Amino acid sequence: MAFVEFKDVCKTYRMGSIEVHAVAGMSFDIEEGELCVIVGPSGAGKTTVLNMLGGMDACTSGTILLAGREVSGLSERDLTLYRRHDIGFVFQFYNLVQNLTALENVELASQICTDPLPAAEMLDEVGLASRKDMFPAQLSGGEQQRVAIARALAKNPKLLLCDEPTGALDYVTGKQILGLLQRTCRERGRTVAIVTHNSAFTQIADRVIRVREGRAESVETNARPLDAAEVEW
Amino acid sequence: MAASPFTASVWRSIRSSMGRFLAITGIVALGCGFLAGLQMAGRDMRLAADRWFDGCGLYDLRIVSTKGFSDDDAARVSAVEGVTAVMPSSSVDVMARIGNEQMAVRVASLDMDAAQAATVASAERVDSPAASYLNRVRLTAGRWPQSPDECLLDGDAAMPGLEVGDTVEVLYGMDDLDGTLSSRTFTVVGLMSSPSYPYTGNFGTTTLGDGSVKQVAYVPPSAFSDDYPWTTLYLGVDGAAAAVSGEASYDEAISPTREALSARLGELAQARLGDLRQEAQSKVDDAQQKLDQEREDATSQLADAKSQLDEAAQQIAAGEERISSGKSQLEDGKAQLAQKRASARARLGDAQGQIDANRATLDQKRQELEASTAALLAQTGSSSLDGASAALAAQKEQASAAIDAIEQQIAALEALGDAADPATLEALRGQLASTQASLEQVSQALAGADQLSGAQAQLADGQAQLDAAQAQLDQERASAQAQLADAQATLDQNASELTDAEDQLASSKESYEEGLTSYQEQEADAQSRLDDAQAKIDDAQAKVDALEVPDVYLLDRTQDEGVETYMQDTRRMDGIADVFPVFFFLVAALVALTTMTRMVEDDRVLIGTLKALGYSKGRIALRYLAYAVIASLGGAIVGIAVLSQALPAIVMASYGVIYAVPAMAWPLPVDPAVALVAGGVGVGVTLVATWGAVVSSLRETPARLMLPLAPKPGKRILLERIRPLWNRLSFSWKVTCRNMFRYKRRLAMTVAGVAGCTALLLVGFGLHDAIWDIIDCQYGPIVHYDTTVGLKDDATDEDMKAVEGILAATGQVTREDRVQEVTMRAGASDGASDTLHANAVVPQDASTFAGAVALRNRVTREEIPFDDGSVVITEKLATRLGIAVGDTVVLREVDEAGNATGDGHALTVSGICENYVGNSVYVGREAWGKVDADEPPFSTILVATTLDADGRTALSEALHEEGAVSTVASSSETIELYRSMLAVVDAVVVVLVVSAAALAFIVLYNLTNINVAERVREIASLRVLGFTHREVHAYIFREIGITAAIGDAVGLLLGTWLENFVVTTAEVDYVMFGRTIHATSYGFAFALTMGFTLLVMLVMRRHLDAVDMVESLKSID
Repeated sequence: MAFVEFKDVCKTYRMGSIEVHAVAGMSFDIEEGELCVIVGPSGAGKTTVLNMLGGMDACTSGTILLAGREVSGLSERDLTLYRRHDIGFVFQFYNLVQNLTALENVELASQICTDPLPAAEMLDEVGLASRKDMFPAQLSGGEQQRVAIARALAKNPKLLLCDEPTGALDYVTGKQILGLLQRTCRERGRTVAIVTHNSAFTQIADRVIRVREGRAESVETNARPLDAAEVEW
Repeated sequence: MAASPFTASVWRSIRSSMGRFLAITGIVALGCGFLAGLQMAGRDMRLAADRWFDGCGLYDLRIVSTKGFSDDDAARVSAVEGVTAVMPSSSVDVMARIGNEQMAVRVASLDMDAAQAATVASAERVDSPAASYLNRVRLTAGRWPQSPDECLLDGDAAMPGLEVGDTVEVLYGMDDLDGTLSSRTFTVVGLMSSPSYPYTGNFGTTTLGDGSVKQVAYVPPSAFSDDYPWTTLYLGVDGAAAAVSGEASYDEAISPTREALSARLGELAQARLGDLRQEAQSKVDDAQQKLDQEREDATSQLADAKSQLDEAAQQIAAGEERISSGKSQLEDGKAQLAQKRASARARLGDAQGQIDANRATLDQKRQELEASTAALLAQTGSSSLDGASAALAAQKEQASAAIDAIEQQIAALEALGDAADPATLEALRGQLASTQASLEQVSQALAGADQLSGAQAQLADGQAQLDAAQAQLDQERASAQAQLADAQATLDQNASELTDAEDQLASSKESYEEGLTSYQEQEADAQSRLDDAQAKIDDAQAKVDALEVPDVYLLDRTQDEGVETYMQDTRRMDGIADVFPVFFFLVAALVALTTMTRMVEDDRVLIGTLKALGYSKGRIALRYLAYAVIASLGGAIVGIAVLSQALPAIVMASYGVIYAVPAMAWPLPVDPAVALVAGGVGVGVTLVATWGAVVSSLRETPARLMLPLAPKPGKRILLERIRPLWNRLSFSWKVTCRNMFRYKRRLAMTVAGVAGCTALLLVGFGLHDAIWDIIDCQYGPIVHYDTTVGLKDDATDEDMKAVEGILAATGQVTREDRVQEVTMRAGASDGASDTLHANAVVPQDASTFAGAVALRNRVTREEIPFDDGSVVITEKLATRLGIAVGDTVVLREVDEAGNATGDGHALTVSGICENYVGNSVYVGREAWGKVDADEPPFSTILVATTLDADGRTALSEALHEEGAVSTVASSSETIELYRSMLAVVDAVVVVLVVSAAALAFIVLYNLTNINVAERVREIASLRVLGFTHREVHAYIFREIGITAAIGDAVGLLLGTWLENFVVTTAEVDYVMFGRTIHATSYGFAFALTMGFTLLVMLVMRRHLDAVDMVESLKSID
């Protein structure tokens, strides 16, 4: 049984009288410890997948399992707990709390968890030990994203979900962040799912899920993923 | 708004942000409406009063004189330019009993003909065909008085239970009422509403009772004595009706006439003096003439009486003379009679005596005769004289023969001569001698016998004679006796006649004496009467001579207690209106600014796009300005339209409790200037705020505008320096703390808004406290007595004892304090014209006075020492006059019109005491000596009882029975009066609380809305991170809660200041509101605001929960 199972998941939005099938019967698996890249063009439904996987949205039909636990069909309250304990989320725009220092932003997440990892260590791990008392506004984009990653990791989540983590970053920084995510996966054995439209990222993934028009067009495993530093786009 | 797509976009933006739009509309509506409504409240009150005053022809000026006026004076005044109407009126203040209540009543004359001829157009309008009919009253019940003993009472007065058919029993006045009122009891035949008395709690100041007139009785002029002058001339002034009473324009309108009249007051006074002098002189002359006539009459009458008396005296004298002569005659008669009787008796006695003597002699002779006869008979031995005589003759012969024998012997012997024997001779001689002697004897006897016979005959003769004499004498005696009896009878008759005459004389003497006495009395009487009359006339003459120029006062409406109290209340409203809405406006401006800033920030990209498309700055700004104008103008119009009606209506309805001013018809007039200013300010403030928000965005280049606005950087705050504390805080607390300082404007706004609401609430509750503290603090903590018994000034010690007896009889009197109360006006020593009505209280016993009235410092609660030399004034008085301890207060006496007279008496203030109702000056007896050198009668008793309401009524009735009692006032009545008056302000409190609640809700809702909108992304992120709803609520609301709490706290401070301001503004001169806001009020204000905050949070929770987590994924736009 795979770590993450997506079985015939459909998500239908009703917009007035029109039904929009954002996800129309998507199925894929992700194994534990894998770095998975979900790639596809805009409007392919990858954000919806992310939402459903992240417990931010419920699916219309189908089954979503994480570590054997069914996520689809969870109550609103259980979804919150699911997000809280099982998911680490990295946003495109970092979504740091501007009023908290780097360290505090990490602690913000860890304080709501039952089994958090030490915040300072996490910052150290993302290479920001020296900047832990800076406010987000004092940090560069890459640094902010690293804080965001540290924040996500501090919760000790089962699954790290990243939504276009390099989308707001320049090339070099983006690569650094990508490397960080890869390292996190490899060294920590954490399952990481990156949602992106940039197919270059597929090179570093253990598993690549290509999404198009609400379906998983292909699910490929990459026997020898490239190191993030080697990727170019 | 020229291009239609542009207009459409504006409308669309409104529709898409209805909440924001409504927030601006609402806050502007509240702000403008509150400003306009409160500003108009005072003016509407003045307008309502002015319509009434104009509609009923309330006087503009009035002239009063210490000597009254005549019709001539009225004519003189009406000749002054600007005077359109003159209505003379008489009035007098009396103590009267209406129902069971005793009160000071103003009895005023009303031309009933004119009143009946007038027609009532509406509650505020009475039209009269006669221009000279001013102060037109409107009959509200019953009918017009027709006879001098009927009256109208003011139905507006604060007198529950007043009905047509009640009676007004006049008890006494300041002076003798004989020359004033022709009736003493008036039947209430109708009730009326009079523009002269707009203030129903107090109809003016008087020196009677408790110093305030409680009711006015309109009577026909015939109820006043004929020679009672007009006391007041009411004047209408040209052009005054066009201005609103109480406003500057009105004062300007009457000013020229007032000055013209003012300049002629001296003339008027002189004319009045002339008239009075002439009138009085002619009266005096008439009286003198009458008196002279009387004197003449009396003198002639007395003279007549005198001559009658003299005649009677003469007659009496004559009678006396007659009687005395009669008496002497009688005495003479008596003497004569006695004499006669004596002489008759003597004569008769003599005769009787002679007779008796004769008879005795006769009897003696007879006895002698008989003895002689018997002797003779015995001698002779004969049985009869004749025999004896014969015997004797025989013997004689024998004897003679014997003798011759002898002699012969003798001659024989002798012839012997010597030789004869001598012895025989001798013997013979002897024999001879004896025979001779015998012969002698016999001859004698014989002679005797002869004599006896002769004597017997003689005796018989004598006896006969004697018997005849006796008979004659008896006859004589009888006739004499008869004569004497006659004379006696005549005398007796004379005597009785004389006695009668004497009696008569005595009675006539008596009646003469009586007549004389009564004459003397009458004379004395007449004399004293005439003297008295003369003295009176002389007095009157002296008075006429001493007649001084009367004091004539020209007064306008500001010197009319009722009107001025009303005007002051309207100005108090103005004062409140100047402060309150400022808060609303500040908050409204803040809300508008924040909201519009937010809107502009939301539209950054749009602005950038428009700019990029080539729209000019102005054009873009116009979009937002248009939005702001629509929102604020709409709000202003709605707010002003609604609140300019509602607020004045509420205020006026509240004041309607104590003022008789008729309510104005809907819609209330809207003062365009106020509306324009309020609306203009409201719209202007919003526009300025909008412009301020837009202009900074417009300055930026389109490119930058397209970029997301960098979030405000986080900042360390001061609190972090306190490491131990900071480290202990959870992140949400840290965020909360930092956030509050991060968005300073929002913090300031929230704090200001919330503080404003709390302040308003606190003002509301504080006002309530302040108002009810007047009673709660005054009666009980300060005033320990509950009943005031006023005795007349001429009450005697017995009266006082009687009153004390009545009090003691209740058995529930705990203490009594005798004081002297004097109504005065108090001023500061600097001679400023501003003086206040004050009650001077002089306790008889200063040492125990603190038991009746607690004299203490309000702040320190320390007792203020009070002794005979102390002068303690009440706090309000001290504040109003600016007097501190050690300063002097000047007490001045008041005249009948309540104006200060005299130069006043300066006293040094030794203490200032807490007091809420009325202004008092507590003066020790010694200190009072400076004001009045005479010992005061201490005619007022302050009584503390444990009686219930029934007991107090019974006591009051019992005391009223006592003639010397002039007033009985119970604190509970005062408390009731104040309660009804103060309930007015309570209504304003409700308005405040409701407004504050509305303001609080709008502000908090709007701010929270903005807060949430600005942080949607953050909230979504937190949700994604796995924060529960509850945690998110806590995270967001904690900040709002704390901000609100800070605002709340600031509001309490602000409210304390504002309440103090409002309280001092709203206060009337004779009341001090409570100065402390109760802890519960702080609690309520705080809790209510927090309650509103919670309510807003409850509403906002839905918005929070509805935040879509997907927002967190979106780019910042």
